[in-house]
Amino acid sequence: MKRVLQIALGIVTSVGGFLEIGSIATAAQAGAGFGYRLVWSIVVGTACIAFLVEMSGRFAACSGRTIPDALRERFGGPAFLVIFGVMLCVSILVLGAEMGGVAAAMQLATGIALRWWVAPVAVLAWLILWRGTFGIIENGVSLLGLVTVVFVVAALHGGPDYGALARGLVPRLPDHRPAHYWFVAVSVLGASISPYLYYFYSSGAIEDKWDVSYLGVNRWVAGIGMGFGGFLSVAVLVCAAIVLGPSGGDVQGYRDLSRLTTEILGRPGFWLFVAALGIACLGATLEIALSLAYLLAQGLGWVWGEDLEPRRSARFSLSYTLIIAIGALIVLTGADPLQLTNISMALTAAALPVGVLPFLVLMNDRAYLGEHTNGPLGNAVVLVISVLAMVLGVISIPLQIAGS
Amino acid sequence: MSEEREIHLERLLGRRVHDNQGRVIGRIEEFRLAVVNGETIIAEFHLGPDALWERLGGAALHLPFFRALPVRPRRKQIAWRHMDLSDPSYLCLTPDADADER
Amino acid sequence: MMDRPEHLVADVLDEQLVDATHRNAGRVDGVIAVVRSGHAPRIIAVEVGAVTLAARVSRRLAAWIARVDRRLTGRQGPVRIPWDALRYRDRYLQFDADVDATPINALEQWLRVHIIERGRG
Repeated sequence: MKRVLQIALGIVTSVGGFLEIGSIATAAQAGAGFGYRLVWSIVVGTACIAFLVEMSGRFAACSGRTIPDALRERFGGPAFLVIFGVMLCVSILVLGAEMGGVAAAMQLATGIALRWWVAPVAVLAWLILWRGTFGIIENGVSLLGLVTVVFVVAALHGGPDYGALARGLVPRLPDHRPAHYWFVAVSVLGASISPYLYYFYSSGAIEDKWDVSYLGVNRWVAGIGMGFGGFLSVAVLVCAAIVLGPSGGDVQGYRDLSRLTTEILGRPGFWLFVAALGIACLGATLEIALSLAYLLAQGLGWVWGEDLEPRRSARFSLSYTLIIAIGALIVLTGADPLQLTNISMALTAAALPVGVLPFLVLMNDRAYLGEHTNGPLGNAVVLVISVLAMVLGVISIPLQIAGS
Repeated sequence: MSEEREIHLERLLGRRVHDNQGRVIGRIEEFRLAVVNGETIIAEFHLGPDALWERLGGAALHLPFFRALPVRPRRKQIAWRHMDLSDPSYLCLTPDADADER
Repeated sequence: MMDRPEHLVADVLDEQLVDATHRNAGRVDGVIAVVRSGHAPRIIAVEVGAVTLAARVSRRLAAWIARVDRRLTGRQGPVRIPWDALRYRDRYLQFDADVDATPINALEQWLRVHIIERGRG
């Protein structure tokens, strides 16, 4: 019974924690610009992250180590610093986008300009990490994130074209704006397969003291939780296809995003959107900041742990403090938050192999996993999708920049 | 009494090793240890790309595309007495050395 | 006395260090050996610290980190742990002392005293 409850909680928190500004914005761009044609990119990205999250949990449960621990041990200090450097550069941009998302939600709710909300958002995120425990962050914020189910309600209420939706599951060449099509596809992949997600998951498994008896829980949580999360992203795409698609426009700002639920559900849809955006982005802010602090602390061998008092893990605690401050500064530079989101998601996809390939090597190492190493399917799915995302990213990002 | 010098072994990693003709025969990727008279010594220096596989535990060879590559086991093991460490910036074999190949 | 690691890089370098109470105490960032003509290189110590790690990438970076570290913590260089004081366990190395009694955690302690506890008022 206890394991059933753990599975249920894990699935619910995975669903509640899945959406964030990256997946919302990129799915909305996909729906607005190309209708249902890019549903396949969400499915591919979701499948890949489900595999990666399951691997991450399996690795932690079998080896008693987090991914950064093993990366440092296996590949050495200099290689770890390279991986950390790339992850830091890409993830800090994503962090800026997420903090911008929370501030945008407050702007939509109050009418007060986004830039005035950046500092309060940073302080709130910092306070939750400083005072909170891992359980509060993992479960509390994610349970609140279930408000993102509003997109499913809106999508069903809006009357989607189920035939076009089904046809969108199959990858097709674009019928217009090919550079933008592939850029959006890459951005969707980057939003779905963010490395901070599965790095955070492995640290979380250690914080929760998982062992091999949790392998079943892990499979259910990763598979069903991520699957339902991907379903939420598809719902965002459907809403955008219904509301913004007919005008053939792009998503220009957060007010466009709010139309996804407002025009279908009316005023309650607006407030639910604001709540969904704010909570989803706050959850992602906490995860990214913690994920980077975990990566640094574990790679350098510091004392770490969200359940520890900050005074007992000073370097770890001050790391996430500094990371949040840098994220806030990025938003305060005045960069357009949605442009920042799109670029950071595309860069995440282009940089995927840097994080994924060493992890795949670890997942095939019997010294860490014993009999629970990867099978050929898991290796193939993750490898192919990561390399594909990188190739698409390297090609489409310059084209998108040149085109805009 | 011969002089003792300290060296940082981690800084030798990746350094090229030269034979007696000055040709590069590989890079240091691993050190095999042994305990002699209660002291831990470097028994061998392992060179070359396959020492890198050794370090990675051979796990990389399980990845799909690596299996397709024509990877031949190729490893050089240099006994401690055949490695001249007098200049860590230019590592070479001693005059009486002959690099072991398997 | 150390149990038997067989390879330096795979079994010792970059491994987690823990103290007598199993608290994390950094990682093995460097390994020091003594070289004498006609004798095998003999391992005498491991080094812990950002300076040693940085020196594997860039000497200039290591020198800068050393200056900052000296100013903040007063440490005169990387921390060394004698090889004979280490025990090799399943993928970590342990030494028989409290990490707070060594200079390893000097930066951690400095941050605790000068930032965290000062911030609490």
